[in-house]
Amino acid sequence: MTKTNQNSFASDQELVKLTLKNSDHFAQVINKYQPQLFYYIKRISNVPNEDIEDHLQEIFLKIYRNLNNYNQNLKFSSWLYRIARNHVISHHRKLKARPQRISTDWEINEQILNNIASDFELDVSFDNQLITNQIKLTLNKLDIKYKEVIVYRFFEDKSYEEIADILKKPIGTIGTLLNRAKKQFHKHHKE
Amino acid sequence: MTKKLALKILEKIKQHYIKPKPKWHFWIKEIILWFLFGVSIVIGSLAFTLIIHLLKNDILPMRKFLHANEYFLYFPFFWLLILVVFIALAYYHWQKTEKGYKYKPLIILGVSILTSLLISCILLNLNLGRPLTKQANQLPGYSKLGKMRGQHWLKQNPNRLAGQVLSEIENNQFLLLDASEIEWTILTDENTYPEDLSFILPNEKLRLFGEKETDDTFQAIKILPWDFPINKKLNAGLKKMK
Repeated sequence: MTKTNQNSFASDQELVKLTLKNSDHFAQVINKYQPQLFYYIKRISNVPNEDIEDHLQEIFLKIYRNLNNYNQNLKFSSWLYRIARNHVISHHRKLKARPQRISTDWEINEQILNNIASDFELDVSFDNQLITNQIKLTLNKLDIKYKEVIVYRFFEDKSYEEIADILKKPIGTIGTLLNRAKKQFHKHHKE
Repeated sequence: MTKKLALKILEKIKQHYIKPKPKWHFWIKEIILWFLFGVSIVIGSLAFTLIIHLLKNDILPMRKFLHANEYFLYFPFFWLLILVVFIALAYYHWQKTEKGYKYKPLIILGVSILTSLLISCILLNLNLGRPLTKQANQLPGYSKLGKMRGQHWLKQNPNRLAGQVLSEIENNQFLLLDASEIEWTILTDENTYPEDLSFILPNEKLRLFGEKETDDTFQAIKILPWDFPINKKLNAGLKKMK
């Protein structure tokens, strides 16, 4: 039986401890979080699909190198997203092009669409595809700081506390950011 | 792709002998941040102490005797700037600590300012305001300002006098030699500031506000210690004061 199978039900904290003893256990972490991070990078940046794997490799290596810095009081996924976010941002800074736009070749499933529609008071009685495209276009027009919180809240389904831990900002600031994001979203959505 | 990526990464880890950074690496970073926060608070406290000391013992007693433009010479702008800079640094270092981001900027700033103020109150209660002012006046750059203040005091003015004490205070009066080598009899009464004049001892250098009653008699209203750096080149009179 492989280590991956042995630990398929291990918690993140346990996986971290096991990985620190034996790097083979890190495969579990990678397998668990790779799909989430793939879509996260896709939504937040303009990185083409073919380059995302290279970024993921760098991100997971950073995660591995910094495992001893993981604080057990923090949700492991928040810590992971924080590293991924910093990587994406620094990558774009290096290219002197911050993630100004969200690529549009990603899906918005019905649940996300309904959540956004209900929270942003959008009328979804029309064609879903049309609404989906409108949402993507509007998101593209938002400032990166507002786009980011919307992505975390509605696409990554993160709580305020998790978003605060990822962005390293006080929880109160996240509420303010989301409110402003909604206002800006409405402003651009009407245009 | 998932399994392939995991294998690629593990292979790289093994090939390049990549190891997680040791815990102490992160502890040291955290300790350095808290240390720098502490240093910023201490320097902020010293600036606070000097500001309060100067306001309480210089600006407030002198307020009725100074012209508006003279306030600029005495107001502790420099220490106010130092305080702002080091409170900002304290905020920066706290925010960079592991859990620093959880606190609102106002809380971090409030705690930093209050801590500095608390430490400065302790220092002032330990009567360290004056020794710190004297030390500060020796600082390169800042001593120039002290010398300017000293020069301002040596200018002729019917309401001001500066000099060196020649005798102990007796029957509410003492002798003082000014920069022009005039020996003054200084008169004090129950209205003279401060109430406690025990610091008036021979050789002590003083600044006095009051009124010249005769050519060598001065009624003191406020008596302050000199505290400014003495520049040997300042003037011949001052040299004699030394």
